[in-house]
Amino acid sequence: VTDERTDSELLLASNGEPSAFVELYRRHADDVLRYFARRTLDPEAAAELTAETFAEAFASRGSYRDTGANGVGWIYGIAKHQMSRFFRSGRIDREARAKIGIPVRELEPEDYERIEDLIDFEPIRQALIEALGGLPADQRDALRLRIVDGLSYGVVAERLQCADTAARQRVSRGLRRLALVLQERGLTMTEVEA
Amino acid sequence: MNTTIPYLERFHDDLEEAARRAATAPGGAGPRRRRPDPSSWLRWAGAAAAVLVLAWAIGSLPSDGASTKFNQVGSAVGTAGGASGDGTVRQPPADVPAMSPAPVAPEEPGAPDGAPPVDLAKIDRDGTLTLKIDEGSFRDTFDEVIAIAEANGGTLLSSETIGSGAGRLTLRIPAARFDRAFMEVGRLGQVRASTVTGKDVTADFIDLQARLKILKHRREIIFGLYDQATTIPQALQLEGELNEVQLEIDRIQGQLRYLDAQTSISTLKVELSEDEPDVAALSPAEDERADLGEAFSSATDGFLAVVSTMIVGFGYLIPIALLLGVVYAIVTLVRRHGRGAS
Repeated sequence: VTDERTDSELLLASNGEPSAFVELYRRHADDVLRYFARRTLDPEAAAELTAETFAEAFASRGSYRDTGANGVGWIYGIAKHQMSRFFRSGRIDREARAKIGIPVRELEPEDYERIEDLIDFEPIRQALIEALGGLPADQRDALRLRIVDGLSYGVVAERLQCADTAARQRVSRGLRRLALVLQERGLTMTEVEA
Repeated sequence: MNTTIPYLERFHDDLEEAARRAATAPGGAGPRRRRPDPSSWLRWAGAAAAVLVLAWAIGSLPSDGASTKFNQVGSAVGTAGGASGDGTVRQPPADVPAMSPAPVAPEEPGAPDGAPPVDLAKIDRDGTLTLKIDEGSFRDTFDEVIAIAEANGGTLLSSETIGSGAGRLTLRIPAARFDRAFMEVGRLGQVRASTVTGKDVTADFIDLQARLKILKHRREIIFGLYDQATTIPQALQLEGELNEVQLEIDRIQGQLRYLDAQTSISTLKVELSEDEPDVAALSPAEDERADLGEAFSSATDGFLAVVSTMIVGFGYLIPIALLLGVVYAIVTLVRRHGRGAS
């Protein structure tokens, strides 16, 4: 049965009916994850930031006030705050998840590929190639094989003569560092996407 | 749910579980409002209190011009002998008042017996004595007090008689003989109350002497340059600087003379009475009831003293905090740089 309530109504209702918040999550989890993925270029960071954002929203849903705007804007406000903290400190908070008793989950191999599918790499390929020069060799090679050449992780691991997991980690870390490098150069992901 | 991303599905399940827990939690399904967390307030209050106490503690450390005060109250107000834990020197059971140790060095080798010991510290000391004397002995005791002052190299600064059996005297006694005079006067009657206050100005004195030495050295240099001046503008400029240095030298010498006078001569105020002196006013409990205005005044003084001590403490803490902040910023930058490089 489809819940016909608006996002604001769901948020307000979730104070007495917590399951209403789960409906809100179902509606917007993909979009929020895409929002993070395109800005961080890092599947790990994007997934964790998404989880932390919804956990924070769930924990503080009592402070939501209906101002006439769409309730999802309130969620994105939290997301923006989480992302700015991530770019500032390089760390992802886990406090909200701990507060509501949700464990921190590791990403499975399938998650990496699915989340990368959310990232449209084409417009930023050139910027990435230029920024790749500043990365450590192992991360640069992993990124080049995976992002520029578009090879699967299995092939990347084979070319780099390392385990599959190590290849994923190098790509993930390389992307994270790349995002920071691009940001330091004043090239935000929003601008790149445009 | 439309997502095909396993991570989001797993989080969905976790969130559903959290929602179920919230719905069945005691106290209702509502989330915690963003009220101030009492423990958080307590932590902040504790931290603020710790900083204030730290500032006070640092500000209370011995510093230049530290003032000490010793209150001695006679047996009439029920004090026990010996030193108390609060730093107050109590009156011994005997009539002779207890004395704070005089800041003196051991006598110099070869010094004649009875010669006054050499002062190591510059301490401005004053005292008061309230004595109950025998009936009909006021005039003789009055004269004896003056005689004691003169015998110790001091003088009578002022006196006042109240009726025929009571009066006050203000004596100026050389600091080196102050303790002796204090004890001798104390023996003339039954001590009902006594105080000795001391302000250590040794550091001020040493500081002024050091500055004076530097200024005199600078004056010598200017004199040398003055002799070598070849043009009138040069000579005029040096003369101006010389005047400034000389002015400062005069000022410091004046301060030194003042400090020297303050520390070389002590003031002793003696109150004599054939009737029982009104020492009840000196008892802390009675004093609070008898003079509410004075109590408020004391409270204000105490408050200001604590605040001023804290301000002094913050004077030390703020630069240290700034220094730590800079170190923290540098460490953070280095770590960030290191993390970026890896």
